[in-house]
Amino acid sequence: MPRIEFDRVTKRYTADTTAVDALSLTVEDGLFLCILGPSGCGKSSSLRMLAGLESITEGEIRVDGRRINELEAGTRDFAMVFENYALYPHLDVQGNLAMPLIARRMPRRRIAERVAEVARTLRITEHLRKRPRQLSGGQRQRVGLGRAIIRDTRTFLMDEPLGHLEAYLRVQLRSEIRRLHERLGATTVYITHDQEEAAAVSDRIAVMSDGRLQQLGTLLALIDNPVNRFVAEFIGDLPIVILPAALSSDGLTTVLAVGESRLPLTPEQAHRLNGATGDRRAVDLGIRPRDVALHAEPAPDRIAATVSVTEPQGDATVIIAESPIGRISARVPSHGAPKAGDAVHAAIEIERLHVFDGDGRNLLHREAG
Amino acid sequence: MSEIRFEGVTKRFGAVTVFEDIDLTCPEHAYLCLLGPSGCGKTTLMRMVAGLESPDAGDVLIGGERVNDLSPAWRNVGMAFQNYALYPHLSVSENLAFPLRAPIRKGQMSEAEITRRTDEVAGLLRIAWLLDRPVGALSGGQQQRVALGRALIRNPPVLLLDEPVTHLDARLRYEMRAELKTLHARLGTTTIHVTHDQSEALAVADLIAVMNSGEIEQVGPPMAVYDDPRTAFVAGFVGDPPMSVIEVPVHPGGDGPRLTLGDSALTPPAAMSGLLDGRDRVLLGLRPAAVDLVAPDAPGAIAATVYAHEMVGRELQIMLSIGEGQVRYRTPEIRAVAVGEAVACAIDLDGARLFDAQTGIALTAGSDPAPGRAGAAMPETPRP
Amino acid sequence: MSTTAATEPAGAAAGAAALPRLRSILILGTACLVTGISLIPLYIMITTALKSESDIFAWPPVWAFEPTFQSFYNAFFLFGGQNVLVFLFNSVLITGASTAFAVTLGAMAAYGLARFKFAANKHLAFFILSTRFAPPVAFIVPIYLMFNAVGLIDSQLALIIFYTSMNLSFVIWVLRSFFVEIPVELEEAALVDGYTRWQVFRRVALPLVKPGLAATAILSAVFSWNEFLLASILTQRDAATIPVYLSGFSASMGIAWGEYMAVGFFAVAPIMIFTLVLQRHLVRGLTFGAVR
Repeated sequence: MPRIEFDRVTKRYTADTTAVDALSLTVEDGLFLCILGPSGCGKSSSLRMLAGLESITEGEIRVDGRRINELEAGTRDFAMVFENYALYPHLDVQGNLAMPLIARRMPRRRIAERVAEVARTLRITEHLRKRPRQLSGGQRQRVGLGRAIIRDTRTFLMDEPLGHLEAYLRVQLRSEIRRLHERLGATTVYITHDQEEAAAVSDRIAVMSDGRLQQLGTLLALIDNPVNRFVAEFIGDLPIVILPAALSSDGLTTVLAVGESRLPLTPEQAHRLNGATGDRRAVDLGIRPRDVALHAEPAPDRIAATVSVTEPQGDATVIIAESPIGRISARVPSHGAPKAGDAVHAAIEIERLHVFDGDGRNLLHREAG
Repeated sequence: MSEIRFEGVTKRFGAVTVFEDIDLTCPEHAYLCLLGPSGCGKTTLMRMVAGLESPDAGDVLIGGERVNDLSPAWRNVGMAFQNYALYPHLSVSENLAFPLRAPIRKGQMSEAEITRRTDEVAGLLRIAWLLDRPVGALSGGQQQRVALGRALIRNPPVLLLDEPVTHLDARLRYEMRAELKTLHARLGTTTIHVTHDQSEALAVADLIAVMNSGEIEQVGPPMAVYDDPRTAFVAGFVGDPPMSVIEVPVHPGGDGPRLTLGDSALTPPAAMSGLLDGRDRVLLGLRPAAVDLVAPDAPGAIAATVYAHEMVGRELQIMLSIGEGQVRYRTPEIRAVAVGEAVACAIDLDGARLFDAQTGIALTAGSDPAPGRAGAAMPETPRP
Repeated sequence: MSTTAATEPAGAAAGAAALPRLRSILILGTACLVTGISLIPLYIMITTALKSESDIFAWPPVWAFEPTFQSFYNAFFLFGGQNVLVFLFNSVLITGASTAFAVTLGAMAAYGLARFKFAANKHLAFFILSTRFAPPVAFIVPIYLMFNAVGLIDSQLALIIFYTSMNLSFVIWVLRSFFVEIPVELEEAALVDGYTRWQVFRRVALPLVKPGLAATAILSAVFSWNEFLLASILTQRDAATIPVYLSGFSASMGIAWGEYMAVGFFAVAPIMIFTLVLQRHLVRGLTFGAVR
């Protein structure tokens, strides 16, 4: 399977709008890579440059070491799946699926076999005679996927393929996409703004923002070891809580002062921070709601707060509470969860803390390894 | 009084019946979520309260008063639309004040009062700094706040929200739904909120009405709907992840009925056995916690294959194929799995739910619910 | 081998950068050429109007000449008993009134067709357009007889009525598609907020179809301004429009090119100004930000 390299690829639309800024990224052969980012981060432009739908302003894209900047889109041999399905409305499902094969002058009998096979894989056999407008969104995108896989392409490009679908259909179809990938093993670049989807389908996630690659890694690495505040805030199923804090050290232990509370850091964290901060004392603290436990009793290392909103989620409940230094949230078991108006004391799992400096760098970030 | 009640309401579009004979009550000051997949009729039902659709049969009552024939302008409801529906030729403050300037309210408010009220709502929703901008220049989250502000500005006794946070990105969605809940606690406006997102419904609602293809499957407080689904549909729709619902053959055995899962036969707990009498198939609803991966030679091990797997947050979820059906398993231990891999699992039937294989209605000891209309009438508000 | 491998990508990159620039130069050049060609008649008209008689007929044509307003003077003060200003006024009045009526009535009808479902809605829309299928010349006799019967021959009102009815069908068709494009939720929001249907039309829908109003107004005005056939038949002296006057002008005077072009200039200028003024409303994407 092909290996794709972005080498300092830049896309400028006008002199002062840079959509993609010196993106360097390698997709190893057979890997499923997700480019994840908010809208306008440059992820779609990156994919469209790879597909040949947009020109490359600077830098080079290579497939198996061969520069493809000048190749026409049609000759790059990628199969693409679009957010809006891009099905031919005047053709039935069968016709839509057959289109890429007809374009390649495959014999008719082979086409019929192949269409039947793909329809079976994606469970759309009973819809073969229908027009796209007679299908639901989920079925349409199955056809879109079918049209992409029908011609044994070795590279798939997917641009928010589940973007138009409802939540429960997304969940269904994303496991289908992952299954397809494991069966076909094709190199895949997949664009999404939905981290849950990114984590579910891909092997690696590249987080982009403002046209730049922020961090590349597995979801777990992004959650537990974000390189900066943007990644920390963007990743995580519940929004991370950011609180102002101050660093102080009494020689032996390094302590984070958060309002009235004192959080003692682990020696390893303290070591890392001393190397990183220099004289800086004021920092921002990042706490994931899953790493917070709520207690009724106060303690020096707990943050006092009053519960303002409770959001039951089945077995767990999300608690939003107001503390003197800001809003905090916690995800706690529903059984015995506090109620609105209750006074709580939040205990934080120290090992999972993130500490950001004024520029948003995570001072506790560990290089990959 | 702003209780909202649907009595035997039917709606058809041409030959298509959206729903038939719906009974539903949203008590005054309650926050009711209409939850269901697209096309289930939830939006049409809510639009009837606004007067944007009229029922083909039955009555819609607001505060005990029949409003079927009242035009939208006179119903005194505030509504926020899914796509925000802001007036692009007006600024934020003009959008907010638009309902106050409606000719039917001419003379009720001076310009100074309108300005004061606009500022107040803008402050409540933290968009005061945007008041002079054209709405086209706002981000999605800001547009959403303006839409909400426009719905709230008249202090309407009834607030209708059509997928109010669906289009926002994840972080804003969480912020906004907490805000909706806080606002409701503060204003006490009777609210109907339409959503397809079960997590959102569980988080914000006092009451959830789960709808599916024109039927109300269940009405109740969020945790009641989650803990005690009345139908197989609700079981498979509510919860993250929801229950896995699989169809299981029942075989009569010498010492009681047995459930067949793949190649294995399971003896159900005593409480469940009684429900299985005289049935040859049931729907079995399993929470992920009821499924565990075990060694293939462990007692009670059931042969399964990996259908799909994915990372959700810090945990790994695996869809296991057992026979024809699939069940979900979750674990915090991350390990490599491959689609098609043969594994063995154990299933704990203690917390499992049973549903009728035909009607999908929950099987519970002692009760035999009427088929087709489960949970449509709400126990909390007895009909007169 | 190694050298070609090293230089090839660089050369290709330079080629790739040069190509789009060359292409945009070509496109720009072609556009300028086409614009220039289409402006030639206007150029000839204006220069001819400003040339003296001997310059007009000079061969080869003179490019540099002493501009003179003699032709304008002749056209306005010497030729004919009629002052050209009367015909200009007729044209402005008839064009203005018929355009205003067509756009106003058309917008209301279009809104109704776009928003209300009633039996035969589609058939009605088609029927309205079908009034434009026959060439206007087919109506000449009945139209003349009708206007004659009510004594409207040679009156401005006759042309106003006729042009309004001719433009109406087209205005309805264009505006209908504009109204259909407005997200229905915008109007529903206003209905829930306490506005009546008529107020929704005026306060929400109409401002949003400004580009459509501008486009239909321009095209209606251009049609009414330039229409000659019916105008020549329904008017004689008092209500004649500029095209009618121009035609009589060339016939009665022989062809006095300088004066002809001077009047022609005044026949073109008002409608050009009108179009330029409305053109800035032609921007699309006015509904941007309304819904997502």
